[in-house]
Amino acid sequence: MLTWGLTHDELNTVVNIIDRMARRVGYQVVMSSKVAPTSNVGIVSI
Amino acid sequence: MMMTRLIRAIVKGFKGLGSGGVTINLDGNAVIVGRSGSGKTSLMEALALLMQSRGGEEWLVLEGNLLIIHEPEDLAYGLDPDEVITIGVYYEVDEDGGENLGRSIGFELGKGSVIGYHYNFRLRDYWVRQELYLDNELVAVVEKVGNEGFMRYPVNTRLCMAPTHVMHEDAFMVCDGDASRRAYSLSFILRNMLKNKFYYLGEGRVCWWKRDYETTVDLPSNSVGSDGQYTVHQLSVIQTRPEYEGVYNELMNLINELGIEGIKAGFTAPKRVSGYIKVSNRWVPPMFHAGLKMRALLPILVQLILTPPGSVLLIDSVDLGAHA
Repeated sequence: MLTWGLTHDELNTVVNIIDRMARRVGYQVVMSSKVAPTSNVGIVSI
Repeated sequence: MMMTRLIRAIVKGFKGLGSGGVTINLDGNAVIVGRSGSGKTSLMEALALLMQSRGGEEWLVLEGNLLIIHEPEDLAYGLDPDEVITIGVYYEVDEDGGENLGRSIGFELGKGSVIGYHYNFRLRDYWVRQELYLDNELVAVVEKVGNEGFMRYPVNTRLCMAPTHVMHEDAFMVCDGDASRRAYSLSFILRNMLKNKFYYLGEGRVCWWKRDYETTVDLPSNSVGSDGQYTVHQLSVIQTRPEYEGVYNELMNLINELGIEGIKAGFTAPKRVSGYIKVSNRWVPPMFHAGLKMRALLPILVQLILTPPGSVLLIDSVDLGAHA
């Protein structure tokens, strides 16, 4: 559960924005996060 | 579309990752997810360290543009100096770089070919081992033992120099014969393919708001580092240069989605530029009054705009400010 800072919805918005921008311009983005967003990008657990 | 893609990364023995290490496989845009202390930042820093050192640097560059690690010991902090640190990357050949370069020097590569590179390093005796792969097949192995260099594969022979050069064809040069020709060419292709194609945004970006911003900055053009000047300076560049007009408008749209009405950088005194945000129809100067969300996100948005097509961009802790 997120308690402060970004909410889960905001995290999803941010990741989707980044994904959209990367696809539009044409580059690859690899991000890291403590919680998994609900979005179309690939999720890699470590 | 011309793209360089990172499809696999292997990191062992580096900072939080320990000797077990981690291997990730990637297919396009991705989020690496793990709890605190799982090694996400170590993984990204290892990749940044390798990439900032490529192009013939001797050893991994500790005081670099993308990532500053002050002492070699910091690479293996808390680990056994006899442990081997391994940083391996696998990049898919793109149409723009590798394929054309390969053809121009007589090396047949197709789109989709994968070039792999491993840099292994042991702190105790500064031993180095570099490996080069093409489509998962070993092409060459070189080693530095003491101050001497040896090729171990495809033949056992002496190198002209100790192979400390990171991701550079010179590391694979044998003293005589043409045993290194294939590795030399492939390494040349890899180095050139990745030229200006890697960008890194570290966790330290949160520092960006902590000071007033001088307009005269001398910071790397290929990443948003921990020095806060960079983001506001670049924002001022983006909003004033005509070539960025389209992406600046795009940035404004993205920011609106996050509930911020506007954002700009402007002069507050000669040679001083500060950032402003607009909330509830009111401009708030300077920008360090912005909430944590904006402080964490603005460097990302600025870097998204500045990253050119075909690149690989790493963003550590996209959820900065969020607590799980």
